[in-house]
Amino acid sequence: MFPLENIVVALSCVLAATLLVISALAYKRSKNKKMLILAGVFTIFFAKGVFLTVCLFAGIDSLYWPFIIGGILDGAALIVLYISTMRV
Amino acid sequence: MDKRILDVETRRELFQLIQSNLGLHMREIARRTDMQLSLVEYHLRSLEENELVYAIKEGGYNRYYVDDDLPEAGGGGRLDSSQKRKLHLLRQNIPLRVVCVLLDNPKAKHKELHECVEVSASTLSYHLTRMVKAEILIKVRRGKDKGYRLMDRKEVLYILMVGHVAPPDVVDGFISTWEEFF
Repeated sequence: MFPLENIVVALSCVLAATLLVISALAYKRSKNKKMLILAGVFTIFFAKGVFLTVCLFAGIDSLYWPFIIGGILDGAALIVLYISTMRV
Repeated sequence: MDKRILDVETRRELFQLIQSNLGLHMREIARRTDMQLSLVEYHLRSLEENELVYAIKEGGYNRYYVDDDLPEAGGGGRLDSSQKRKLHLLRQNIPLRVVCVLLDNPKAKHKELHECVEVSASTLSYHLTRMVKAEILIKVRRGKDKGYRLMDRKEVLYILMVGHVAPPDVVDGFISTWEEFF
């Protein structure tokens, strides 16, 4: 039985991947550059999800650095999201 | 009317898009052509001033049509004014969903429509009334059951085909949600 945190991180990774696919399709259909930026945001969330999932399932002793890196990726995603609200 | 206006490549592109997708609104045109909204607005105004296209305001949107008198009207020439009014409605999400349900299940009851369209009862009633008024639907009553039928299934299919109307999917929902946000 996997610990609950592993399952939560894996599920958020699947959700990010789904949103990444939808935003990529949205860009393909609309050719709106902002959809591409959104796809970038979901790529970052997906990358974070994969990174944390690997760390958790690998049984790393200290999760200090994984959470620091995860936090940095969250920050990067939020900055990209903010940029997407600007005129491009 | 000065036909040279279509010599400008951008205007020709917009004209051809409207010609093959009657009733598109400005934001949708900007989206499909990947142009700035202000640029699209400028060129559409120019096309309107030259009587190549015209706009009809419907539900807060200006929807564009190719002038019917033009020999190159294409799709515009294939829909009469009553069918164009129906197309205005069918370009809207809720009426289109109602029609899709009735195309799949022509005997759907009011309750089934409500379950499939997933909007509040009052919103659904508002749209159904408009669709009855536009002669897309007719109201039927069998005993206690109230329902709606397509007035002319063949005509509705024809309008959907000529107007290139397709039911929105999850990607369309995603695009419109984020575009509203931006």
